[in-house]
Amino acid sequence: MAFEGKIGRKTMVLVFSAIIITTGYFALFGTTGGQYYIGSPAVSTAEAGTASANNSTFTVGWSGTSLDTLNPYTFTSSVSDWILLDTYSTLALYNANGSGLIPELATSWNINVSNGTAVVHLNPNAKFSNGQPINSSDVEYSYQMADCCFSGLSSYVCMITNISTPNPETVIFNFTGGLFPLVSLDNVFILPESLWQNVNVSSYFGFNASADPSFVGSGPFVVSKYVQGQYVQLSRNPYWYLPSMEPHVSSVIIQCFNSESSMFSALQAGTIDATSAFLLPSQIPVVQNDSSLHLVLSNSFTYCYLGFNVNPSGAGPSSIRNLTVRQAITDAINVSYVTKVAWDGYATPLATNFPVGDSFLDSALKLHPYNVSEANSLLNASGFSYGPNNLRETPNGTALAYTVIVPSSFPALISAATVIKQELSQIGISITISSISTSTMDSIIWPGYTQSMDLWDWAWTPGDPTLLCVFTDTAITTCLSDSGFNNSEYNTLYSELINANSTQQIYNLSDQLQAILYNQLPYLPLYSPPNIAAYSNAFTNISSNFAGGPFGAMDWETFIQVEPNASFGKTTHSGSTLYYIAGGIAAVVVIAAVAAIVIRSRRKED
Amino acid sequence: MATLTFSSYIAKRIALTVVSIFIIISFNFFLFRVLPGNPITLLYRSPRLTLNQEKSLAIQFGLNKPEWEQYLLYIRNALEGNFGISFYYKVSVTSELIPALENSLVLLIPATIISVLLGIFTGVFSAWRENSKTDVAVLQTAMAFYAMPTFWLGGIFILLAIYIGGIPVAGEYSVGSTSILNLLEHMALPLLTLVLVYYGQFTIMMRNSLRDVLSEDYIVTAYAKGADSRRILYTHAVPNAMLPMISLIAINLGLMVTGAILVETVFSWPGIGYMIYEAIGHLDYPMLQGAFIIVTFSVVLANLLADMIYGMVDPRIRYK
Repeated sequence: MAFEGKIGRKTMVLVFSAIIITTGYFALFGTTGGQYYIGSPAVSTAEAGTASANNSTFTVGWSGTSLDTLNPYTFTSSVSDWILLDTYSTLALYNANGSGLIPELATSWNINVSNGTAVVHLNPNAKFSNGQPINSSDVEYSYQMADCCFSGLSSYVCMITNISTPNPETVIFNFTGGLFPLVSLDNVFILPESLWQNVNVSSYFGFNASADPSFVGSGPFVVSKYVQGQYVQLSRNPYWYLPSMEPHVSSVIIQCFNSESSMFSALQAGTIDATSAFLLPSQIPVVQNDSSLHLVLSNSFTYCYLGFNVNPSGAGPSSIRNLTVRQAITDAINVSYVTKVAWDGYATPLATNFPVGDSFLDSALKLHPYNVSEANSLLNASGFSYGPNNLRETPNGTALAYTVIVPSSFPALISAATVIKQELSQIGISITISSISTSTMDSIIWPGYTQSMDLWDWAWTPGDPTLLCVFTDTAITTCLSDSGFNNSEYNTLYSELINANSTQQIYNLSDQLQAILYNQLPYLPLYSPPNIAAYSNAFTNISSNFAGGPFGAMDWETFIQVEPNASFGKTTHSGSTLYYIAGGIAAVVVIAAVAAIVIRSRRKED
Repeated sequence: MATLTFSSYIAKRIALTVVSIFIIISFNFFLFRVLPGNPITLLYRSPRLTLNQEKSLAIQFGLNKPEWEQYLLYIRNALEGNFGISFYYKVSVTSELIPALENSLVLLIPATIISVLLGIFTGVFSAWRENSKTDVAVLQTAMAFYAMPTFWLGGIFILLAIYIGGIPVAGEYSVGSTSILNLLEHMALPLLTLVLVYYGQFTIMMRNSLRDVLSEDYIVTAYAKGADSRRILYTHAVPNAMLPMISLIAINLGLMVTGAILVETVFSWPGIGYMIYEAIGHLDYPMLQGAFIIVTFSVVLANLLADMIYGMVDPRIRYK
C-alpha cells in the first residue's frame, strides 16, 4: 500500500519555501538576533548592572536541601538558617571564623564566667519589622522558647539557669560552665513575643501568607514572599536599626533549584545573579572562561573523614578495634593524594576533627605521615602476616578485609574510597566499597555498629567546640557517634570543657581532646571540601571571608554588603521565548501543509 | 441483556478497584517502615541533638507508638483525607503535596496529550506507509527519541537555550511573575523534552497495532470490495488498532501524578516527582505515604477508566 512516485516541481518549490521561511525565522529571532532575557525575570544581569542600589534585587540560586521551615526553633535545612540569619537579630553576630562576636541587638555585654553571670545591654532603638520596639522581654521569651524540647537551639541555651530583665534594655543571664560566651549570644534568634505567643510555636511555619504582616522579623531583611519549592524573597526591613549594616540592595531572592547543573545553567542564562556553594570542580573552568562571571572558592564548614568502628560492643570486625591496624591504615593512606583526587586539588587536607578555618582547629597537629613501609612494619610486628590472596590475616586467621560504606550521594567521597582501596591493597588489606543511601548507612551503623569503616562528613557552625561531643559515650546512645569511640579520659575532658571557667581553658581542653583523637584514631580526618560558587559581575562587594564563603549559608554579611556593579556593561536584549514557540508552531504548520500537498499531488499522479 | 451485563461488569470492576486500593494503602504503610534508617537521626544528624529531644521528636511524629497503632491511625486518617504532618516540612502533607502535584500536572497533562496525538498521527501514517522510506524514517525517529535519556535531551536543549539566549532554562515562573505567558515560556523546554521522549512509544504501539489490523481478513475483504482506502483506514482499521493504545494511555495518565523526576530535576520544575525523591532521602513517611496514596488512586482509577472504555468499545471483554 506504500506509495512510490516522483516529486513534482510545484512540490519542490513549496518544500524549499518552507525551509527558507523556517530558517529565516530562526535566523531572525535566533542566533543573529542578539540576546534577550527570559520572560520577565525579577532581575537579569543587565537590569542588575544598571539598577540603582536602592532599587535592585540580588537573586541567588540554591541547590542544596530544600527549605523546610522558617521557624527558628524547628528548622534543619541550612538555607533556612541562612534566611533566618538575615531576618532575625541575635544578641551578637559571629565573625568570619567564629572566633569573636560583633554587636547586633546587644550594644555591649559583660560576661563573668567565674560567677556565671552575663549582663547584656540592648540597643534602645531596636525595632521589629512591624515598628514595635524590641525589649528585654522579647529576648527572655526567645531564649525560653529556644530551651523547649522541640527546639533545635536548646544546646545553645541549656547552660542558662536563669534570665532576668531588670529593665526593657537589659537582660541578665545566669549560667553554668564556660560555653555561654561562645555559643549563646550569637545563635538564638530574637522574635516578637506578642506574635509568637499566639501561635503553636512547635508547628508554626514562621511565615503566614494570609496574615498581615506575613512575617515580623528583627533583622536587616524581612521575608516578603515565599513560594513553596520555588523561591523566598527578602525585602529590606523598614525599621532596621543599625545604619552601619544597612543593605545595599532593596531585595534578595533565594531561588530553589533541583540540581547544581540546573542552577549553573540558570546563572549562565542570566536568570540568577549567583549560585550557592554547590558547584562542582568541573564547572570551575567554565566560570573562569566566562568574563561575566566571578568564581568564589572558599573553605567550607564541613569536613570529611574515614571512621573506624571501634565500638567494643559493636558487631563490626574486631581487628579494626586494634589500634595498630588503624595506625597502619593511617600510615598507608596518603591523605593529600586522596584529597587531590576527590576534589581535583581544590579541597584542603585535614589532620584533626574540625573544618579548616575553624578557630578550634588545633593547627599544631600535622597530617599523619604517609609511610607504607612503616605501615607494613607495624602489621608485621603485631603478627598480621600475609595469608592467601595476598591478604594479611589476624593471628587467629581472619583476613583483614573490610567494607567501607559511603553515601551514594557524595561522589567525591566515592572517589576518595577508591583511592583508599588502592592504597590499602599495598599493605595487604582488602577494601570493598559499598555506596549506599545515608538511610541505609544509618541502619547499618545504629544501633548494632555492624560496619567496618564509613566515609562521611560533619558540617558545623564555626567556633563551636561542642562538635567534639561526637566522640563521647553519650553520642553512642543518641546515635551520633558512627565510630562508637568510648574513652574515659576523653569523656572526662569533654565534661571539663562543658564546665570550663574560661574561654582559654576551653581552647586548651579542645586541643587535648583533638590530641586524643589524633592518637586513638576513631576517625582519620581526610579533608575540608571547598565551597565553589559563582556570581555575575553585575554585582560587587561580595567578600569570601566567612567559612563556607559568601553563598555557603553561614555568611550573614553577603546580603547586607552586596551591591550592583555600576561599571558592569549592559547587554542588549530583545525578543521573547514566545516568538520561538510561535515560530516553532508556524514551522510545524508550514511543514505539515507542505506534506499534505505532497501527498495529495502524489495521489493525483498515482 | 447487554446493558445488564455491562452494569455488572462495571460493578465488578469498581469492587475490585476498592479492594485494590485498600490493599495498596496498607502496603504503603509497611513499605516505608521497612526502609532502613531512623528518620529522626537522619533528619537531625547533629551533635546538638540530645536524647530527650530525640524522644520528644519521636512523640511529636507519633513514632513512639506501636506499629499496629500507627497503622490504625494511618488508615483512619487516610480515609479522612488526612495524610499527617510531614517530618521534614513540619506542616500538613497535603499543603506541600497538592501545590507540587498541580505544578507537575500543568506540565505533564499537555505533554501527555500532545505526545498521544502526535504518536497516534505518526503511528497511523507509518503503518499506512508500511515498508516505505516514510515508514522507516518515522519509526526510526520515534525509536531514537524513545531511547533518548530524558536528562540528556533536556541537557542538550538547555545548552542550546543558553547559546541562543533568552529561553528560560529552569523553574516554573520567573520570580514574581504568575502570568500564563511566563508559564508558557518556562514550559517550552521541559514540554518539548517530554513530548519528544513520550511520543515515540505511542508511535511504535500505534504503528504495530494498526499494521496487524491492516492485515486482517476483513480489511483485505474491504479492499477487495473496492472500498475507499481512507474509509477503510479511519472507519475500520484505526478504531480497532486503538484498543492497545487505551491501556497505554491509561497507564501513562495514572503515572502522570508521579511527575517526571528527571525532567523536574534538569529543569528545576517544582513538581511532585522531585518532592517524592527528596522525601525518600529524608525518610519522610507521611509525605511518602501521601504521595503514594495519590499515585495509587490515580493508577487504579485510570485502569478502571480504561476497563470501562474497553468494555464499551470491545463487547467481547464484558461477555467474558
